[in-house]
Amino acid sequence: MSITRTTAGATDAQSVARTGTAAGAVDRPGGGTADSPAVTERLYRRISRRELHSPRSLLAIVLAVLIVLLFVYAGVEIVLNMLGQPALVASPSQVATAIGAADTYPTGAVLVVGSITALVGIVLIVIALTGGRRARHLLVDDRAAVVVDNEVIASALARFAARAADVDPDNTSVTVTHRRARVDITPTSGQPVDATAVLQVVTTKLAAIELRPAVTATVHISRSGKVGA
Amino acid sequence: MNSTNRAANRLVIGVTGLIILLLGAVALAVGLPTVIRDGWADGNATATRTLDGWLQQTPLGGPQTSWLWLVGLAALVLLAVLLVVFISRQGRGHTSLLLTEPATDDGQTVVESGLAEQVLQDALADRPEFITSNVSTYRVAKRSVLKVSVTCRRGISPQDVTTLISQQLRHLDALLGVQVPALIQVSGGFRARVSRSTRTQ
Repeated sequence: MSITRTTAGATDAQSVARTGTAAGAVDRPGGGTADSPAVTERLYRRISRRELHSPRSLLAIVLAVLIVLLFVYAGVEIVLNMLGQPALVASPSQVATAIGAADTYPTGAVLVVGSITALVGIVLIVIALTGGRRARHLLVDDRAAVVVDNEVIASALARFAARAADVDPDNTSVTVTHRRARVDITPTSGQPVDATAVLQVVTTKLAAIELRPAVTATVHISRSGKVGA
Repeated sequence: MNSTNRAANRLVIGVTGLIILLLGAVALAVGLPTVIRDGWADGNATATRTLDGWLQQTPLGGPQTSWLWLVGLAALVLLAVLLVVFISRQGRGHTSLLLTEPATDDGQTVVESGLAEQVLQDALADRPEFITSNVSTYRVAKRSVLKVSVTCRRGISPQDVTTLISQQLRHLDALLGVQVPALIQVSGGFRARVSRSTRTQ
């Protein structure tokens, strides 16, 4: 239908988009688009949730590859053993004997190996169970789901803070975490910086960016300034 | 955005962790003066006898081999294949179809993702705010969703970037006559850190 519209139609973006959406809601059962605001809302929530958390793919793939390699090796040893050929490293019965003799090994070595192994196991279990939140925030927008890296927010705040404090951007550092933004300013020697003014500017800018979860700013002025900054 | 099964990822990591933890715990129990250490030699003798018995009761062409090894091999191959399938399922979910109209008597209209991707990419390509921009289409919950990911220069306000891309999306809506769900991903990244900052105002 509206595909045939040329770019001339796109100049009046708002109204055309509205009619387009209305039409799309009617004749698009199982089509390629979200049809009602509630459906879109749910879709955006799902996408946002997935974008804000790590999929743990890299670790899972590395582990899977290691396990497959281990299995391939074990399979080769079994086949060699069945054919009566010499083993690559150790035949199954040699492995069994080695495990059986575990109580005769030096206690210290067994304990060290055991502790490291157990620790690796615990770390993996923790990684599997924890949320894995990424350093990102949602930004409220009425057209799309928006995710912003924390460092982008920090870099924007740093620019505003540097301008408000009248220092070089390189002497301003901002750290953005889940709910906080910490602004650190190293003033130019002999030019005191008004922390309240900087905080006000940063807070105003943060309020303009509608982040979810919301971020509260704090400003820290370094006690010692830099010469010629 | 992609269709990676995240529960499966966590399952693989968790189960592997559990097995490694158990192995470590057994090693610790053998190293420390526990019941397990005292009974290790006896247990080993019993286990060896049992396993030897099983292998001898399941001969394969002669007394030297057993078909239990084949069972073991089959299990290893099966698990390995499952893991390879698991790996290959990662990061999928791209689609080349953006819209599919219901068929009418006159035929069916299909819009490919390439259209939306190229229109958006064109609109964002020469923007000084971005170091890179990329548009792709994914299938999420039976819907095609556009993913617009941009890498910003230092100091660019994410709000301005979002407004800009939103506007382009609305133009696309007007062009298509349909609102396609979209994700905007604004990132900094390595190239933003090493590239020089540009004044935009």
